[in-house]
Amino acid sequence: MKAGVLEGKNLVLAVPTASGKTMVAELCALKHIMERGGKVLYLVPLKALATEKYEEFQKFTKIGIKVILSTGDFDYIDPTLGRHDIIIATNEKADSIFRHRPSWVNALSLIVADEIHLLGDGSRGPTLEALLTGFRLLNPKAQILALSATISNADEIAEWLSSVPITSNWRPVPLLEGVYFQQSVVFKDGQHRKIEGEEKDPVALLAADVIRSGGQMLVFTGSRLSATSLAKRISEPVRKRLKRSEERKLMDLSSKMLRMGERTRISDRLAMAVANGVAFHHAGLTYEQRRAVEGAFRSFLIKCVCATPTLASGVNLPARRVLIYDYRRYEAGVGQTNIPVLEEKQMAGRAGRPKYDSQGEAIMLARSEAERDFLLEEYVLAKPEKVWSKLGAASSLRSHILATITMGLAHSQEDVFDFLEKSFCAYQYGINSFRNAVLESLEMLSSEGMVKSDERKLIPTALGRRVAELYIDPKSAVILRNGLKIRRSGIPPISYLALICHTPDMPKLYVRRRELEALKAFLEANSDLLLYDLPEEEGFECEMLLEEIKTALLLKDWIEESPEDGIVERFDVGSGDIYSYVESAKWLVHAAHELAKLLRCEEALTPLLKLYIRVENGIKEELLPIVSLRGVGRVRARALFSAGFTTIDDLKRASPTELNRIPTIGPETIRSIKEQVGGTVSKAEWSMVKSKRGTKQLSIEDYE
Amino acid sequence: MFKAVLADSRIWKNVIDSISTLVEEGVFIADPSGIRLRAMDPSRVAMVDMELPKAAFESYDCAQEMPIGVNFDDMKNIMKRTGSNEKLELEKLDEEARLKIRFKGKSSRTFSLPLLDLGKEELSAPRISFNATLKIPANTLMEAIKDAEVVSDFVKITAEDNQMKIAASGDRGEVDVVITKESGELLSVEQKEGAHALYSLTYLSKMMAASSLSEIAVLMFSTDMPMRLDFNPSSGGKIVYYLAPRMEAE
Repeated sequence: MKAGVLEGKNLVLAVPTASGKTMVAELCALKHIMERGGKVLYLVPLKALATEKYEEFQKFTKIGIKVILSTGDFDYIDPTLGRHDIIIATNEKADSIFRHRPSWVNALSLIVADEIHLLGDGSRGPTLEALLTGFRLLNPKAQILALSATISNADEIAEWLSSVPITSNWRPVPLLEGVYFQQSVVFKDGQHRKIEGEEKDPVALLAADVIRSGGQMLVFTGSRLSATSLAKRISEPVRKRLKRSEERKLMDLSSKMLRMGERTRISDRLAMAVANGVAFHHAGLTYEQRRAVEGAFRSFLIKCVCATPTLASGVNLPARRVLIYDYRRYEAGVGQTNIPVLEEKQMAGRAGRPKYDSQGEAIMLARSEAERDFLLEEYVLAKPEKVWSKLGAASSLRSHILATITMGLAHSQEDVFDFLEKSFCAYQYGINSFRNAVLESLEMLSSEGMVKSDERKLIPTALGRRVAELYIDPKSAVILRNGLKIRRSGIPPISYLALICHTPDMPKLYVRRRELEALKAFLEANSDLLLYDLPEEEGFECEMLLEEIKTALLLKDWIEESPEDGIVERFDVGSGDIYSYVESAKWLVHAAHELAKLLRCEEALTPLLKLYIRVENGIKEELLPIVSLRGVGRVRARALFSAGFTTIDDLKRASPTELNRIPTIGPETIRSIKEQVGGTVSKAEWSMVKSKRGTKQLSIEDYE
Repeated sequence: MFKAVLADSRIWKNVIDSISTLVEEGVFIADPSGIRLRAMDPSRVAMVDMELPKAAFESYDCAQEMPIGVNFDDMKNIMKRTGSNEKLELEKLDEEARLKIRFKGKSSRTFSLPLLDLGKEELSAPRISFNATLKIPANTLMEAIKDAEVVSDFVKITAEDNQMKIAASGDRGEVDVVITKESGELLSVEQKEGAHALYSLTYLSKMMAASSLSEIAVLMFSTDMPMRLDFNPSSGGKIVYYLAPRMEAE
């Protein structure tokens, strides 16, 4: 397996999950740090994976290796990064770091790119590609180790990265792939197996069968809705197979999960399923909920998890049996499509827990004989597709071209082409296939004043530099700039929220048919609040506009302190989604604020700064003075406010005993507040707070 | 249109006192069966749940559900003006955002109170079951609370072996109050198992405002769970409080 990787050769490793990819990466990293005093950057596609890797690498801290997880806002670079040996970051975060050109980039000696097959992903691929292309220009000496799922053109990626391809199908736990139809599974090798049991429902039957033999099952569904309803459907059959002691532990877990965060109908449903030894898992859950489900599945307490495919590309959660319930999926603009084989193989690859299972089973579900044959042919026996670069799309090009120029990697049009010549896209399609798109992007950047051409040189402007650092699409910057130019006093928050939702960087909520009229009416009644022009005619653009408005209204509800459950119901989202919309909104409000600074739009500065804090915390304006205190979030700020402590001065005058009467305010919090605001406190009261012991008032709302 | 007459205006005065002790604003819902209100105190530690059925009134007339949002301080100040042997008339016309409050005794005096538009979202009562139910004279409970206030600002209430214990301790000292069935003060005890919990004295003493409505209080609770405190006036209706417990901080 070690084709010179420890000697510093570039390597593309395309092998199944859990077959030792991580180990190769770890050995390689250790070699770099211990023997050459090098520095390692470990790239992963998702935040959740970054956290997982960070926890895995903690074992090296014992031998003095410093590991750091770089997360957080795109425009902020942790200055301590340079002092660590291993830096773990998502592709996007690393790309944004590079734009600030920290000095340690040149000291990197190894870059590990995990899940490199995502080069073919429309939204994430271009970033990874531009990142690797740029990095090799900045630091050509560093070794590159790319890890991939099994794909059919690993050799192409390897050649692009001047590296050695290694492909293998070896797995530590053998995998049996098959298709289920009418109580029987046909496996790849033609072998049949009858599944015995009283259950009529095939999912329940397969679950009961694997639990009986001490295993677990992971079900992949095409949508959140079907993950949730499937979990309910198999709850009863799974519960019947639980041991007494498991039932008790699950009840405890279920009530513990109910107390996590705000209560919503989704958390209620999840807690109900968990009590039966079942769970669903999708991006609508909060981070804590997902972690709790994963933990209980790993400890064998939860027997069956129904998940959306995000889990397949995300955290490592293997099970003895994987059931691929849906192989069709809805895609915007296309309708129902069959998923790629690559994706099916990723899900199938989750079958088999190392150390616990002697083999894993990945089963697809057929509803007819014809479908069974189709699935065998097109998925089980098929090879994964090739990975194709997506960098050529205009939206990703303009952003990466601007970055290339501001980073000093290109000083002229020729340089830009030279740079792109080294991309995977040019390798696969040839530079001429997207020459026009590049020229259009350059034209756009110069006409919008982000790049100046002087003679034949391309010089980034202050605006261009800031846009690249803020890590926003240049088109978003144009929209924000034009909106900020509209100078009038008293622009309400909804106007700014609608403006950031108008940018291509903001993810948008899906609008249902029945919501169209109400949103249109809102738009018509409030068109004077918008900081951009409405399109003349109806059609596609108008539909997009309604999605933007709906998203802005969700954010407005959030900063008006609407209870989470209400938002979940009105906007048909999960708590986890609210969090991700809030994250994006925070980033774009920050970007708007920074642009306002640069463009000297003074009157927008304070409103945007206030809006940023309100979006960050989900609070009304009246809480701004007290939410700035450490240890005081939206809940405690509201509790303090309701009890009449509305300013820092009020808190300065308040006695600890008074504060202790307020729900959620315990001795620890009181001490922290008092340390921050000052004011006099009697000795007796201070000792009560200092001792940390004491009591905390609960709220009657906790029992509704 | 809503119009109701109470034979004794002091009943309404006491009802208002029992509510205003916890909340500043709230919405009465008047419907053909009577008047009700459920509201939480601003800090969301306690809840009051009030009901005065049609039968508690001398005459009662309300064709359809009607929200009546009031500021309790203002209403309390008006009710302070009533004397003994006065009848009370409450009246609200459909289109008017005012409530007429008329005292009828030796003379007829009419106040007109501006109403608040607070919407009419109704709270639901906490979903809890109780392991212990204690019936005691309101006065006995009030005295115990006053004793505890001498040394602390919260109490531990315990129900076990057909006894009720109220204990408090702090820098200022300690106090133990025991109320037994034998002494005749504990009128009845029903308990599935022993129960103990901590409650804020500030709130408990506020809730004793309802003792003017009923001489007997019914206290229900479970270990570390909210308390429910009921006052049932002989003239009909009920005042129920819920109070969230305090917990040992980690």
